[in-house]
Amino acid sequence: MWINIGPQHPSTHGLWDLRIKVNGEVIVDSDPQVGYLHRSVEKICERKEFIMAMPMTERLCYVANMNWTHLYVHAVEKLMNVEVPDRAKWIRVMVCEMNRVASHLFWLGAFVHDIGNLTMFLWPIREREYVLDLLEYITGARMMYNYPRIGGQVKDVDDKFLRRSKVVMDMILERTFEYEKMLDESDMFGVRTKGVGVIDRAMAKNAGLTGPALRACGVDFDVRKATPYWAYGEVDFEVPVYDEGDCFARYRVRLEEIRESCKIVKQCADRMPEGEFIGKAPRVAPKTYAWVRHEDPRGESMCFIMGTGGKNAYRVKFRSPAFVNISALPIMLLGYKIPDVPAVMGSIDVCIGEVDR
Amino acid sequence: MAPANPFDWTYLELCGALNDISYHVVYAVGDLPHNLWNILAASLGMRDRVLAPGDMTFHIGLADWLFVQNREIMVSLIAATLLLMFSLINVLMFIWVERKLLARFMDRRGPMVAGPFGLLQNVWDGMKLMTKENAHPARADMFAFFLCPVILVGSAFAAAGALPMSPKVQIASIDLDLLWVLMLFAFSPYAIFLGGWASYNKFSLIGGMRSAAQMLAGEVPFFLSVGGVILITGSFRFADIVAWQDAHGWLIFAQPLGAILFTIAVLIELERIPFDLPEAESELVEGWTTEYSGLRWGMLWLGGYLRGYVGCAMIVLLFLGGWGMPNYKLGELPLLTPHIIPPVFIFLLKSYLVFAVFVWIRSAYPRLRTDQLLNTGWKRLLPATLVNIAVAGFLVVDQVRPGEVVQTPFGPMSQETVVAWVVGAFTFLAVAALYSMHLLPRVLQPLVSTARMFVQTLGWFGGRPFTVLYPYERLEVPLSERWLHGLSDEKCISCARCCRICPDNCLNMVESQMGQHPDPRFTTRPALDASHCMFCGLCVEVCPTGALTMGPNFELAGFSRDELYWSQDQLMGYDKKTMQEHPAKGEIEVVTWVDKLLYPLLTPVLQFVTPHNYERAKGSHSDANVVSSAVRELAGGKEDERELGLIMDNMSPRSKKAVEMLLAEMRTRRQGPRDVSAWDLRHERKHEPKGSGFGETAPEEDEAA
Repeated sequence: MWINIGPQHPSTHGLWDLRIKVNGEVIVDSDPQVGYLHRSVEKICERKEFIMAMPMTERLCYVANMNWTHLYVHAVEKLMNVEVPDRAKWIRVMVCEMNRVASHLFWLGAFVHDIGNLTMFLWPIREREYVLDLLEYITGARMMYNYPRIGGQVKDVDDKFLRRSKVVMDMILERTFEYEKMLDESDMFGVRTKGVGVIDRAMAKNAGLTGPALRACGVDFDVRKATPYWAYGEVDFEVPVYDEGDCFARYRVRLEEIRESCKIVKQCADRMPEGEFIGKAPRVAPKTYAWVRHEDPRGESMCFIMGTGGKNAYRVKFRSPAFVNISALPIMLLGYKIPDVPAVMGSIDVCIGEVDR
Repeated sequence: MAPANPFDWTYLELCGALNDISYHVVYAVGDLPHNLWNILAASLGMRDRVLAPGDMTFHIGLADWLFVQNREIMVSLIAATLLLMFSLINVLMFIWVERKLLARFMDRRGPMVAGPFGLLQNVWDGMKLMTKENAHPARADMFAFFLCPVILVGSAFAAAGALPMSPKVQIASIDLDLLWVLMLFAFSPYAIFLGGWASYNKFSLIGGMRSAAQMLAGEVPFFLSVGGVILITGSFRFADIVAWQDAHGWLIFAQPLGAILFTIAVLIELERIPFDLPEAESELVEGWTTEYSGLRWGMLWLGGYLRGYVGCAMIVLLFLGGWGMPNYKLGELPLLTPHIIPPVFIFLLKSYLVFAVFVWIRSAYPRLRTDQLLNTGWKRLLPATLVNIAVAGFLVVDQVRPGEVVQTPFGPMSQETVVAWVVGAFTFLAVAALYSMHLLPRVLQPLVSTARMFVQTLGWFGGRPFTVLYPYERLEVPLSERWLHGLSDEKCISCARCCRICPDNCLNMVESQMGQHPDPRFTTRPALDASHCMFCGLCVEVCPTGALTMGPNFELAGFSRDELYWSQDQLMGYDKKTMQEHPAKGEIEVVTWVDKLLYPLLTPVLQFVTPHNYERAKGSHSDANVVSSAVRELAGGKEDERELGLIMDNMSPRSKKAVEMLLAEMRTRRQGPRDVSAWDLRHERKHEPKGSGFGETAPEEDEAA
């Protein structure tokens, strides 16, 4: 019997339809259907000037939009061969990591809510509010920041922001230990997530899984370490890797990533270089192409951009990690039961905005 | 004979008193026509028309039947009605406790607005449910669909009736009280299965089956965990069990294992987290309750919380001493004085405390999968209950020497008590030793974390929840916030860079009507279509003079499409239509505690008294100019604008607003639809260069192909 989980369902993941074929309670097949949120972002980006297309890229993954706007701007800068000043690079690392913290906190809330723990939904959201307040201070908006520009950032960060971010990151670091107490040391959470939704290394690599889901299978691959960009080569951080490949391992990887990102932000706040926050950028792009890859909170995101010689792009293509992660979902669900679906669906962290573009 | 002081009456004596009152009322009403006729006839002097007591009397047969002396049907009806009212109010209070307490565990407040401390929230929610349609699937089996909430709620009320609340309030007491209540609980799997099946919906069916399986797994431990209690006290009657506990100490010390097992079994029966998979939201929408709406769904909630009350009350009666308070003395000093608070309040307080523990458990844990739950039920709970019964049976029943008094460090106790407590401690420690690897750190840690959060958010200890109580408290936003646009007339040089950069084509350059035009060369100003604006701030960045700004005013909701088109004059501040108002706050200025108390109570009434305000707030997007008839009356039926203008100066602000809307409506009626609407202005696209649209590039210019 085919059951439709979606396109309207109360789990807070976005607009998609996960069709599963069940034999009683056991899942024997699954067929995710996406595309309900397709907005032709890539096509729209062809018509607009580079700077005008930035708000479009923001709305790809609305939870982690610093990462997506910076990805696009990085690609445009590579296309136009623009030199970015040091301070801008460090600011970029700082805000991208802050957004990673916010995104993972939101993921944690949604994941645990699906499993049934109502309190643990609100506590990470509350932490995320602090991060959002920080970003609101420098950009002026809580979610659609529109912060990077070609060559740097639109506004500078000041000392108050740096000081406050250190305090907030310290607080979030402390609270992650509180979350561990609520979740790790609880038998009931373990029983719902350990051994559930297992995928092994070979299948994960074959399916193109990237990001925390891949690192939970034992593959030590992080774009920030493999091909460091901006100031990632100079900050000191670890990449958590777990072996089991189940929901619990994915949860652990992301929790530790929150801690690592907090440390990165504190290092950036301490070591922020002086200087310009934006460089000179030309108005038109050459008729060539550029390609850039980043570590998004969901995995490896890429942007390919080709210029026309004019003010807009000929083609923009985004590689969305969540899109590819969803294709691994049928493998993870096979053989498990219907109540495991929210746990597995939540653990791979889909954001349908970037899946459908 | 009933004692003189009404506070010393038992429940039945109270019902008897009400019965007497209602007897007199009913017969007085029934005799009314007779009496009126006699008064009329006597006063008119027509003595031959006066009716004797037996003539032409139409005694209402129902009254005769109700008040028959040996049957006392009315007393039963009054008893049942009082029970109903009490149970309903109790359920509302239980739901209130759940919402507020759960909120504090989650670092937020619960209902705040409806009534003081949000006490009336559930009343309004119930009224809301009453106004909703009782929709049902077309092919549902209506008899079963109808029957499911009836069985649930009916069995819950019957169980609530069997619970005594104090020595004086024993509503219905039979020899097999405990068994009766346990059996009434057992009706629910049947009702839920019926409801799930009758809904003609895959998800409801699955939910119903899961729920039935879960409840069956919970039934057996539920029944057996009270086995120890029955063996020790020797009776099924609640009054006897409470009397035993008064004499020998609370059964939670004699049967700790039984108490814990019973609590877990009650949680399984009530389908509360951690056992609420059948109605889990993230699984299959709402599970077996998916197709229920309106008051039927309200009945399901009512039944659920009523069974919650019955479960908590049973735990209190069986394990926590019922309505008794321990009579501990420290030497000669009484530590607790049981006779000041009436036993009913003690009983209810204890039930609410037990329910608070249920809410605490709900806040701390995720839910278990059905098969994991069944695993727990059959493999863990059931053997523990059997161990409990075995130990109670062998040791307590055989070893006790009734009547003998033993000296203990706690004072002289009867030997029954000592054996019971020793047995209880022994069983508990033995089973805890078996499970101790897991129990304390791994199961109880979340409870500790949530309790800490609860203490942190309480004002008593200097904390407060994280939430901001909008609109009474406002969130502080930084000045760099990108919200409401502002335009400076002096600085704008009509360069239209803002219009060109807007990714969504929201801005248009329009001749300014009310502007001061400091430079006669630059008379056009940008007007903004806020319904398309995404507040990206690009227009502010490119403005060369800094004329266009964005500020921190975020209360920008409009109730019609016209309100979301901000003309250049509005942006500059000359036309104060929507810019200065706070639509979110509505028109009621809430300042003092009186306002906070009164307006939430009066709001449901006010919406019928001041329809123009609430019609506007209901968001009639396409017909914002519809004005209700009440406002027309207010305007006195006058259509002439000049006459209306004369009246308006003396009116209250609310009435002025209403009349302004009336005038606007009259104007639109007279002039017909506007030639140019906001939509047209937005789509004019004067600032886009030709050839930049799709397909507009000539082939020889398109070199990228």
